[in-house]
Amino acid sequence: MNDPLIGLFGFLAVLALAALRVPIAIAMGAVGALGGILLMGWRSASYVMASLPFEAVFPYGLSVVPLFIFMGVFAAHSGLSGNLYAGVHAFMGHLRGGLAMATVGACGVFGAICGSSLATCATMGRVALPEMRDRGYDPGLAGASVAAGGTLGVLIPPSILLVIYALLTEQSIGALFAAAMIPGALAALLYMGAIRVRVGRDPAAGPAVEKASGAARLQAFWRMWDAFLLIVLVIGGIYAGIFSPTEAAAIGAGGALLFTALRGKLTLSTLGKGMQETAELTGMIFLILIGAALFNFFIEASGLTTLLVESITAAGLPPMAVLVLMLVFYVILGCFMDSLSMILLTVTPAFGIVTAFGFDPIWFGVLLVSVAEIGLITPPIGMNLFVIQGVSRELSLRVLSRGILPFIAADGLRVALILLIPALALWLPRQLGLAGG
Amino acid sequence: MTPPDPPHRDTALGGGARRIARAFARAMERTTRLFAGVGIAALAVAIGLVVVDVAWRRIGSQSLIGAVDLTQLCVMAAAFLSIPYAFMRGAHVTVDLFASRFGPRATRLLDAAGAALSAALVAFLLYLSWGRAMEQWRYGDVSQDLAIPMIAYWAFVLLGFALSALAALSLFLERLTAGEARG
Repeated sequence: MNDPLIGLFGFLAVLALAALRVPIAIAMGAVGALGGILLMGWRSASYVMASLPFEAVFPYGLSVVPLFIFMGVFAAHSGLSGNLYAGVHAFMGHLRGGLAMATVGACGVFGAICGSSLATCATMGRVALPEMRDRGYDPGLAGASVAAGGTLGVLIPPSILLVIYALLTEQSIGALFAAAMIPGALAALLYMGAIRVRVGRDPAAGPAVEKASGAARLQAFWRMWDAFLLIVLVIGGIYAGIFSPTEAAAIGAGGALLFTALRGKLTLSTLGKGMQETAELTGMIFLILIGAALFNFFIEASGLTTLLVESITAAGLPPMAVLVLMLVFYVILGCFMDSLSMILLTVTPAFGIVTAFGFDPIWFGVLLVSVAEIGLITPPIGMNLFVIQGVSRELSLRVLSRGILPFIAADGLRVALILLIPALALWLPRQLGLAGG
Repeated sequence: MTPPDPPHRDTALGGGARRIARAFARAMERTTRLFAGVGIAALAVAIGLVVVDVAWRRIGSQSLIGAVDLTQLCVMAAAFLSIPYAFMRGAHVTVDLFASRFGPRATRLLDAAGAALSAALVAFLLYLSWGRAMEQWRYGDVSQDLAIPMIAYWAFVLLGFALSALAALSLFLERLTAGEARG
């Protein structure tokens, strides 16, 4: 058996182990370790692998990951989400489907503080779902709007997924954050469009509520000051060149903790819960990074990436067709795997193909995270759908799966637009001097 | 004295093993929570350090010497001390694609097998890391700014893997013995 074939079997072995409930990090690590020894022999493989876990965690740039996790967790505990929802609600609630649109809008703003899709979904779900239920919203539309809105946390900066892509492919975090801004806003607008279409067909699914007065709107807007301050500090600080991403994440984490305290929510219980959640997410992400380091060492040793690039080139497919096939592959894989594991499992060969065909790695990063985002809401393994079920037990997966369809269509349209108009992702980083023109 | 009949003896043995496995898992839950708390407290220290560094650069026009070294040390602590806790909390990502169709007994056995593989892998990584850490200790390698011995960074790798191996082992034993009396 030749080496690339061993690499391919290794990839399939990870999928098989994952399907048998082995934690994905362990599946990647075990296959990577065994495959590495098989290809390179015990002496060479063990020498390289002895340093891989350390090197997977040690780089200073990776400090940004637990810091953004800390910031997101404490932002979720601070009660910022309630004010965000009320603020956007005051401006949009009177429209048909307005509460669902307000949910998407608030998720977008909260995603800009949080960086995690699951946390955005769980936090906004607790605020928005009871409100929509009380106003007679269709349960499928209500649940799906939170699940879809939650995915904005992955794309809208600061995004942990974008940070990890940037670190693995040696791209600028700032450039990727800038590149994701317009696609993130586009995603929110298209989700609102999907809600509009849904309530246009079935007005009873999202009844309008009374219009807020001008004074009430102003007051609701003013109450969102701390959320906006945090966003300006973190994102604005990076683009103004005041902070590096790690510094911005630390300032954001400290700010989230401070706002939690100022709002009187920093009790011992909240602190304990926040520390536990931070530890769970940090441990989970870093073990996946370690597993991926072992697996990618094996894949590189197998020469699978080179063979894939050569085979695709020899097949004579147009580069755009190759990219579309890759994105379709990711959408299908995303139905069964979580986005972080999916990206870490495949980024080495995928990045090799993308750069070999001359595509912009920043543009590809945004496309990759966009399709990973779709995986969060596609059954059967749409993580956000599970989170919504956890928040609202009466919502069945069947109802949610039906309600989510217009949002998946909106995602498909967005990915097609980014694919056809790369400037949607590349214009802003070029304007800011963060990416080559 | 009449000896107990075989089914009761099996159940008693099974019950004993289950109790021991549960006690081990509870002890590991407490231990890993404690170490995770230390790790996240270290992360809070890193936040403080970076904030002070940023402020000091603005006010004093110079960087806080060693801030990068200390931040890396704190993040190593946070990452490696959180991994065992994530094992105990079931936070490591799994895919529930087919297993839900297998029934509870098969699912439990699959989970036990997953925990055994986890314990084996992290024990293997501990073995490899131990060798490299001892090399670092012998050579006396230090960090760039504050000359912190690199073994201090490696200590968190070793501690994290050792605790993770024990945590995964406790999960393996707990899952293996759960429902043994029925089985």
